[in-house]
Amino acid sequence: MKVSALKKLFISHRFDLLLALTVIAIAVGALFIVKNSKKDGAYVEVKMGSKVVDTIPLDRDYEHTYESIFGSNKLIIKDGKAYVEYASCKDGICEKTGRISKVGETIICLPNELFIKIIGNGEGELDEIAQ
Amino acid sequence: MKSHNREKFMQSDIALYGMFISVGLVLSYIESIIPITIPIPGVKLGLANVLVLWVLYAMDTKSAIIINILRVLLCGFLFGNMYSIIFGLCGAALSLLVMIVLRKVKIFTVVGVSIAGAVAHNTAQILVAMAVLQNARLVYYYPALLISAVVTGVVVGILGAILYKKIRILNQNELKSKIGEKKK
Repeated sequence: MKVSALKKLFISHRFDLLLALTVIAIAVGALFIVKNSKKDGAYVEVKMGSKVVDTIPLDRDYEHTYESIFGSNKLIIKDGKAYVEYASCKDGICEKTGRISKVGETIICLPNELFIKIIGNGEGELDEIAQ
Repeated sequence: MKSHNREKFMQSDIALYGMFISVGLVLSYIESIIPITIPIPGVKLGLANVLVLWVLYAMDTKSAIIINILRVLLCGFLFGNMYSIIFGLCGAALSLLVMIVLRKVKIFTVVGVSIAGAVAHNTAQILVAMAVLQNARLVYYYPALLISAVVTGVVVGILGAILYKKIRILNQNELKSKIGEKKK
């Protein structure tokens, strides 16, 4: 008796079940794609010491030499990627880091206390609005 | 609305609409005081959709549209801001459209219609969010929102189905016969 009731329930809801499974399949597929693609950044945040000195959009070509009492670094943004072309220090780790464009990636020049970080856009805003 | 029906519309429907809108407001309020621990912005139960489902099934399409749009507007003015009104209206519009169509298709039950409505609601909201914030990266939230839509859609759909079975509006004749039964 109980089994047949379950069976009835299943039959009457078979299209609902199909719909739910389809949606979940799409969601899992989309999740998979998302996991495989890192997020592209929107801005380059430049910090000297603990102070943010510059926030530059990543989609425009840009060139600037940051100078401090420790030395200088030349930051270049080209084709949506940021990199340090020249550094006054001798180890040049920042030059070797290469090009960065994804959210969370950083170039750090410790001797000159220069921190370059890719940040996204509008995430704080989103949390506020979507509550 | 035909003109000879106008008086009837004034008397009964406005009272009903007012009642249902206030029920919807209460449901929205209850939902807003339930704390949600899921760390994804935009995920909510959608309790008010129980009401919309019930109206859609037990009354008619027109009532569902009127009640839902008014409920969203009022709720936005009372508990929200400009953004929540825009978001709510877009979500309500698309989910209503989908639910009305799927209801007419007849192969889905209340639960299926509810799931589709929830999915449509979240889809509309993510699209509006992307347009408002000018940020296509929000699409990364979409899978999570889809899954949450299925879960909440099932819960709300079951609630709606139970209500639809238990409560319905009697027309004049049914009402009279019921009263007659009681007198006997």
